[in-house]
Amino acid sequence: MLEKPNLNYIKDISEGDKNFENNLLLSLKTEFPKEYEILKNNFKQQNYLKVALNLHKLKHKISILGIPLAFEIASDFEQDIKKGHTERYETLLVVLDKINVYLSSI
Amino acid sequence: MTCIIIDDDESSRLIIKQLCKKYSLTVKKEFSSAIEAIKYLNTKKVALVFLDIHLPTFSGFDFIKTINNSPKIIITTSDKNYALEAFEYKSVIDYLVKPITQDRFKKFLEKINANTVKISKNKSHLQKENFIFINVEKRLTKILISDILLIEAKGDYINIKTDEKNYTVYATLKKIKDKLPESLFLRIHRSFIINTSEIIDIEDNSVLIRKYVIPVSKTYKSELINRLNLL
Repeated sequence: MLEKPNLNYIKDISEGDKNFENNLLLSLKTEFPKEYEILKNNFKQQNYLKVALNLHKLKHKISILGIPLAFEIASDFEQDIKKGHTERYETLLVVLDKINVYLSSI
Repeated sequence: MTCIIIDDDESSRLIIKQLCKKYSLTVKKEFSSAIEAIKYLNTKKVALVFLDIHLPTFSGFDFIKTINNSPKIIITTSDKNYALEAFEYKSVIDYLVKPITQDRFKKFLEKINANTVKISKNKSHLQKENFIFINVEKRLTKILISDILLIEAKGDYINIKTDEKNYTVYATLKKIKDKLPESLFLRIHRSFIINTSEIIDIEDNSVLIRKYVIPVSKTYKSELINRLNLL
């Protein structure tokens, strides 16, 4: 089962700096949905190398949110898609959807 | 100390900037493109470059190959797989895996400070506690302790690996361990002592130190884990 995203890493780095926290969260909330959409479009058009690059960028955001299992799923798919393997795409979408929902809720 | 950040991901830049601010590194400028950074460095000097590998059109490695009189480069990436390639470049001094923790950033700064100490020591008198003298072919050779990456036992000899050179010395691991600061060095296998500030990552039963993959034995693994500031 996928862990719940959390802000522990951000809090650790910020050490109470609210300005930093707000800027970083705003960046995640703005960039994640955009990059996710780009990934889905590239997948539809079978631009798999671009999908791998999109996912690479998303991976950092996933790691910030403290969800190692999601990071692992994304890393595995990044390797898969470079070889044209798409079997685990649906699993990836479930993970990315959950993160998207979380980011829109905070 | 001045630096620039090259990363096409805004969240990465924000985090590195925050860490720099906390540890008094001055971020002169940030770039989402390596080409823009090269143009900047053609006219300005900085001490450090935080460099992402995965950049659009012109990668981090392209940047390293292109830049003249390179500042010290710290690779920042979500990918552990490029460490071996990264350390092939002389200008690369560290490899930070994202998300960068405070503990790992502090270790990077300790390394920078050790290098600064090394430079200033060359200009000043010898300070006993920072050096070790080893007997190499009947000659006493001075090594800066912070330069030691790892030590491997080889029969009656030990092999001391540093940034620049490897030294084979007639001694035991125990003997050299007693001469090294406990805060920095740790035995992780019957045949290996490592400089813990040089650890890039740990996977199962091995540790990556620069380009060296070193085994960790069960006996020493818990002590190694205790040393780490795990999240």
